[in-house]
Amino acid sequence: MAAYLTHQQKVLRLYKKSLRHLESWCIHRDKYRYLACLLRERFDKNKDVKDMVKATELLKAGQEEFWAHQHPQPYIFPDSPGGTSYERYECYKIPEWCLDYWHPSEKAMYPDYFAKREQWKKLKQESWEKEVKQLEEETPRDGPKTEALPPARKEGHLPPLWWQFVTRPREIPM
Amino acid sequence: MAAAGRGGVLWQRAAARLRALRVAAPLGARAASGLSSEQLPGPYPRTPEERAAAAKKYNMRVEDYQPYPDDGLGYGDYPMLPKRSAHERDPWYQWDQPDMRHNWGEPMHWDFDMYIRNRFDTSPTQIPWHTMRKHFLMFLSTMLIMFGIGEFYPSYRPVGPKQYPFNDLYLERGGDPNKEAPVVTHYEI
Amino acid sequence: MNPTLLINTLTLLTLAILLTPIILPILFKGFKNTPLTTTRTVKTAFLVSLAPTTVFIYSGLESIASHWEWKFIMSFKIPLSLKMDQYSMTFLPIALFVTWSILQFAMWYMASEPHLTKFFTYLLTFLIAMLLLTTANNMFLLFIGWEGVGIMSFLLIGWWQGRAEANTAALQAVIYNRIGDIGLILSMAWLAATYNTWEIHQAIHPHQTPTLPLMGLILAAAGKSAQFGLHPWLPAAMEGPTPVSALLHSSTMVVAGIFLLIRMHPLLATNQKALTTCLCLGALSTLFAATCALTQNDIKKIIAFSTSSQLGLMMVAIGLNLPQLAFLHISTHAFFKAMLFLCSGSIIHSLNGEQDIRKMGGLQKTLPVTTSCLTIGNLALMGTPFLAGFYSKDLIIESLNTSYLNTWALTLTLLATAFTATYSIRMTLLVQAGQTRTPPMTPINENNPLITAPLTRLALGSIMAGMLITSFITPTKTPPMTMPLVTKMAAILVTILGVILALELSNMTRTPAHPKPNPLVNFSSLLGYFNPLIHRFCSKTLLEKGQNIALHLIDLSWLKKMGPEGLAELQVAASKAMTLTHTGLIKAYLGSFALSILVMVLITQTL
Repeated sequence: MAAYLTHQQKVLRLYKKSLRHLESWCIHRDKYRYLACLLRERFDKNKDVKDMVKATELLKAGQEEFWAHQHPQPYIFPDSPGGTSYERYECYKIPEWCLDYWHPSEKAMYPDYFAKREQWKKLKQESWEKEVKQLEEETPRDGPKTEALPPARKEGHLPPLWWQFVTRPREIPM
Repeated sequence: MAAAGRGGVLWQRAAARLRALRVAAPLGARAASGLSSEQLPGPYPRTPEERAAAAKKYNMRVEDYQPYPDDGLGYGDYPMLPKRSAHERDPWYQWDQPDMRHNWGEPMHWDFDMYIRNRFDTSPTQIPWHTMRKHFLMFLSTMLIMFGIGEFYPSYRPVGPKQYPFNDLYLERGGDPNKEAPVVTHYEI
Repeated sequence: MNPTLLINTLTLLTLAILLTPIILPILFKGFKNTPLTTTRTVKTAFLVSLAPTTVFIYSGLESIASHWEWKFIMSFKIPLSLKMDQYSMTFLPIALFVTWSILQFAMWYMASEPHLTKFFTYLLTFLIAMLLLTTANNMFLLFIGWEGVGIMSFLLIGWWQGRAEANTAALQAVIYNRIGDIGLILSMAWLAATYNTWEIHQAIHPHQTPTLPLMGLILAAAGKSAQFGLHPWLPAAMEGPTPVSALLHSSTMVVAGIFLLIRMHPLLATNQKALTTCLCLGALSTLFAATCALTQNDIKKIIAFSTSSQLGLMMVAIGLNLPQLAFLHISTHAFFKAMLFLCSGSIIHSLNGEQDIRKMGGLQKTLPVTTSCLTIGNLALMGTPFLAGFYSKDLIIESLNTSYLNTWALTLTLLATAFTATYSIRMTLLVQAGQTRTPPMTPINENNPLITAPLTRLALGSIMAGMLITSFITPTKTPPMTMPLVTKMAAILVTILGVILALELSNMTRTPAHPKPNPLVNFSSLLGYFNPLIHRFCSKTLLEKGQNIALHLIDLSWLKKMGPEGLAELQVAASKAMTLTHTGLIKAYLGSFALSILVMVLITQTL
């Protein structure tokens, strides 16, 4: 899970959320721009507060104000969580290894693709050892500190666990 | 979908435990009849060492591990997890099982299937619960009371009795033709 | 030729044509359905269905065709009987016409979808179940259709089954409909027990029908037609693809509840309590749904709530003892509501899946046909004179004004009529007027005949249907003829009030005041708090209780109290009790011996 957020990140997130909810309240763009400027001014007024106690109190007050003034139906992008087409095509996302279980006669219908796929799989076999080795080397003794995977460090190496990113299913079916 | 996902989760956890216990079973093997006694919750942990072992078994930290009270309801050493539904989990995080919002090897709530995304939602509501309840009941009771009042004072268009010629159709309605018909006047001058 | 025979044969032919895409692939190996064949089948069925309707209109003959019998119980006959009366004969071509247009539209809207043929087969199966429901003369047959549309609704709402919200919506639809089914099954049981028949035309009570079975019917109708209390599934059902919303959740399936009450009307008419319940329930639903529609921002949700509101109005007509008017509203509503949904589908597709009306605006220039049809649909919904909605809505409100009824129900209905105008105008203004707020890159395009043809066809229907249907159906009850001008104008007056309200509100959105939530807006936009309250509270209590009973109570009772541990405890208790008497005194043993012998002797003597 995500680590703790810094104060700056929290303020920025509050600002962005407030803007989004303001946009949901004001349908017309001109009105929204005007009020957004006012909102920006309120945030800017306290940007130089150095006292962390006071800054945290301001942040808390801001969050409470946001909660009280939030829009009951905020605008959500269609493919964001809670949006109208979020996860819509999830049922068509089939893992890539299913192709291994195709019948040879089916595979023969796409000879070029499967010929290339065999080469990719060979590449995966070759790089697997190196990926695992890199991960083992880079993991601290008391367990990993972050869930982010490291990039490829050496010339000719591939980033660890690259296969699952390369073969992830399409977002929208053809 | 949900049921299959849950089955998958259970199976994954069982598989994780199998591996942890170093049971000599080939990968992908499954007992013919559900979980074996080794995969069921163990006895309630009483000593700190047992707690630590149980926490390790459920992939938890000892500080987080809190078993259900030992009240004979058969929970054993199963951890008591917070009653939070999957709605509250971060949708942007790359979960191992995105539809369950659950990671591989993560302990599951005892009532996991109650807290999945299409069952009970525990996420905080924008309006406090009692305010919502109050307003809804106010709406409902107003409506019911007003319907009751409306029943006592109905709306209608006043209509006078029908007026017919020939003394309200005295003969046509089977009046005695020998008698003089009673004179009906529908007007005042 | 005998017109009755003609009607029966042609109706059966219509139904048989519809069955071909389902039966033929089973019979012939090489036969494959495609979306196009399904659409053409429905089109053919529509054209054929015009024939029995024409014969019916010109001969005026109602007929009942009994074909075959289920033999479950010897003394209780369940024939496969179809009823060809004004309701089924009018609904048949309307449903087929609307479905044909929607299927055609779906060929474009769902074009990128895998398993498209399955989708079309689902829609066709739904249509067959719906037509079975409307033509059924037998409660058993009606029940098959009733459950059939319920199942297809579940499958189609959950069409995108990878989506948790869609699954939740499908579950809600099924659960709310099951609550209604309890009522239907109870009423059917009562019918079978009282009349020993499920034939609808035989179930006419000479005196007043008891209230309880009628309440069951009303519960069933409330579940299917999303009346207040069982309404949340209808707006949630908008998770389904737009053609599904257009077909199931606006024009056909949701009216099944009202249709049931229309069919069972002879039973209902004699019971004033049941009628008052219908009236109040309908008035409450129509106002509640209209209030919710005022603040929604999702274009499909607005139309869904307006459907819910119109269903409330139909329920009011039932409560006024005027089933024919309710049916008239079903017929006209089907056209313009299906068209409104198709318009919203066209807009949504053109904006890449965007459904929020805050991100639309100015579409009049880019989508002229769609927005023109949207306007026609909205005007028809508001009851603008001489469009389809006018003929039914105006009559219902006129009858309301001239009847003897609950004042509050009348007030609520008039208020809801004003709100109808308000949310329709709000939608129009935000979607098609003003400045555009769409993203700069959108695949806006409506040149495909698969969009324009169904839309214009349904637009024609929305303009003409009211006049056509009212000129061919003879009213069974005398409509109110004389009334003051104000009463006559009431529907139009409140609609104009609603329009003025909407324009005033849209002016208010321009003022640069800082927006603030207030309890009324929250109440309306959070759906009257009904969903969070009921869905959280009920699912929590039921699931927790269920888990506890299933896992703990049963385990405890079998293992601890009745099973092995219980038996062991019983044995221990018994042996402990026995041990008390084992004192080792010969006198006590002999005493018990003598006592038992005495008892045995006494027993044998008396026997």
